[in-house]
Amino acid sequence: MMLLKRGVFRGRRAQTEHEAMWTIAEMVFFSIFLITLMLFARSAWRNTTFEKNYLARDMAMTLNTLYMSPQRLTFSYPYNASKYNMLYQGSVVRVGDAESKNKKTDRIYWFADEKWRRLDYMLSRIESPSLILYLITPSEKLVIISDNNNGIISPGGG
Amino acid sequence: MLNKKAQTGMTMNQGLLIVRMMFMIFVSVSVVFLVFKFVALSVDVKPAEGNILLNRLISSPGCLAYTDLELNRSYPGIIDMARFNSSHLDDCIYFGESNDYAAANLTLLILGTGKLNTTYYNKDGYIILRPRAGLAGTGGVMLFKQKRYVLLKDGEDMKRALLTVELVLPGN
Repeated sequence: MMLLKRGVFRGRRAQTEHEAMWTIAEMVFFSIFLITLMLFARSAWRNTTFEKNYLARDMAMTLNTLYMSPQRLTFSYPYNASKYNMLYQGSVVRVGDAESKNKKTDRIYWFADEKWRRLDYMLSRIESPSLILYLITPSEKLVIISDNNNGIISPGGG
Repeated sequence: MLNKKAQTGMTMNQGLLIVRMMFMIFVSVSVVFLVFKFVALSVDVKPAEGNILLNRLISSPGCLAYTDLELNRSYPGIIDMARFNSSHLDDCIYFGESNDYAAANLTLLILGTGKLNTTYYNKDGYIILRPRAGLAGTGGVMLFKQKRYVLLKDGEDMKRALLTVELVLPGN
């Protein structure tokens, strides 16, 4: 066979060697494939993009809902968000990793203020196990309070 | 040197190995595809968000709901006619100076008289976004439509009315 004559595998032994090489190539391919898959699984496990996206959206919708309150309201947020920084900038909730300073990985979502009754307190860090309390005060300013061990840390403005 | 029988057998073996390799690549690609298909990095909240904004338009004391200033009490379900205008709605759900996030058309049919009142929340945005409602893809717009029987407070009068709200949110 011309193909074999030109190749490195010649003679009767060559057939066995040739098949062995194919098997080895397959094993190498599968090993690389499995290692890549494991590395991907590891990075997916460490990745917090979904949590940040979820948290930003949930916070934004929570704020949208709180503006609907007909009267003074107290709300405790039931999600442990101690791993994340949260920031309210304009009409945007920004959620980032607490341990990372890389702003590129932050996730944002939009909520609507009222033009004459807006957030006047910016929440930077929520300690674990924490609750966030939202109050709509009689002075009609929406205040966000971070609550740690049932003790009010900072009441913000209002 | 191999005889003819051996050569034929070897060719068949090689053919089978190539088929086997192709099958292996197909299986690997399928596994990668399935893995990536089930990796979720985001969550779609548009339907919930649309309903929240729609309810906020109707029930928020800052928006359309009638508020008794003496009692400091608002009445969800009672629409204050004095607030039924674009400038008030634009201020009560405020996404910033440039709002390309939500828009709505509100029509109030006063029952018994058949009189219609129409106003807009983010009128410019509504005119641009409404024709794209229902289109697939990133340029599409999600439409939320709701009809609700309400009481209308017009000065001292209280009338029965049917409020129709069409809210559009960009993105599918």
